[in-house]
Amino acid sequence: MKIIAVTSCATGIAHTYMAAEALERAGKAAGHDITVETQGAGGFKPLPADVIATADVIIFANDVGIREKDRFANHKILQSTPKAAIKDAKSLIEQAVALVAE
Amino acid sequence: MSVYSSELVNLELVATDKVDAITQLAQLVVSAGRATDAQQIVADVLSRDEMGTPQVDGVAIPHARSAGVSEPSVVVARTSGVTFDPEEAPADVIFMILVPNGEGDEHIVILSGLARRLMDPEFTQALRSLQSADAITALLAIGEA
Repeated sequence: MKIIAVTSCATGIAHTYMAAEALERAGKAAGHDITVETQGAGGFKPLPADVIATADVIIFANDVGIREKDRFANHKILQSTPKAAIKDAKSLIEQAVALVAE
Repeated sequence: MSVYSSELVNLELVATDKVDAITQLAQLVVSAGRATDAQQIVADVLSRDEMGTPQVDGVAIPHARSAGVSEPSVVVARTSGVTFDPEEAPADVIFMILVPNGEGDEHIVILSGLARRLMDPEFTQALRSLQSADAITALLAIGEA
């Protein structure tokens, strides 16, 4: 399955990147193709529309507003937090996969 | 200036609680000549901490932007156990990240790389087992471009 995750947090220093790493690891471990966009203090590189178009599901793991959120308007979205991603990314990946099946 | 230094490592921190631990580590940053105002750092870290301090695998990661710090700094401490999050077991390693207000991207990139490495069990295990401050800073330096 192709999963895109977007992570962000209040200071943009730690949670954003820890959550991204956790989701990448858990996604790959479960055999998925996962791409993460980090929206942190170091700025962000918006994923291009053609990459987003091929995703089966989107995971938002954010404490502050997702930037350029409209890009994801046509997708199924699992809404979560960076803390949940850091604590149990495997579970978030499973929930996202289940969302696609609905 | 690098974001880490062997002066910013305390392998035997004795702290009564979270506030005491953060205070002692802030004072370490001041002693190393990288910050001017330990009280301001403590206030900023605790203020951000109200949103929840990230903790992974027994490593607590208090962090903040603060006017009290002049150089981006990473402080590493080992302790017998300090509770940061009541929902989590006490942390035996503290990894504190401090960034001056308005700090540019260059250091954020380094700090974000370190934050990612905290999700690697081998990295957190090494923080716990390495024998000296120099060995810890050498570990942090791995992978820095």
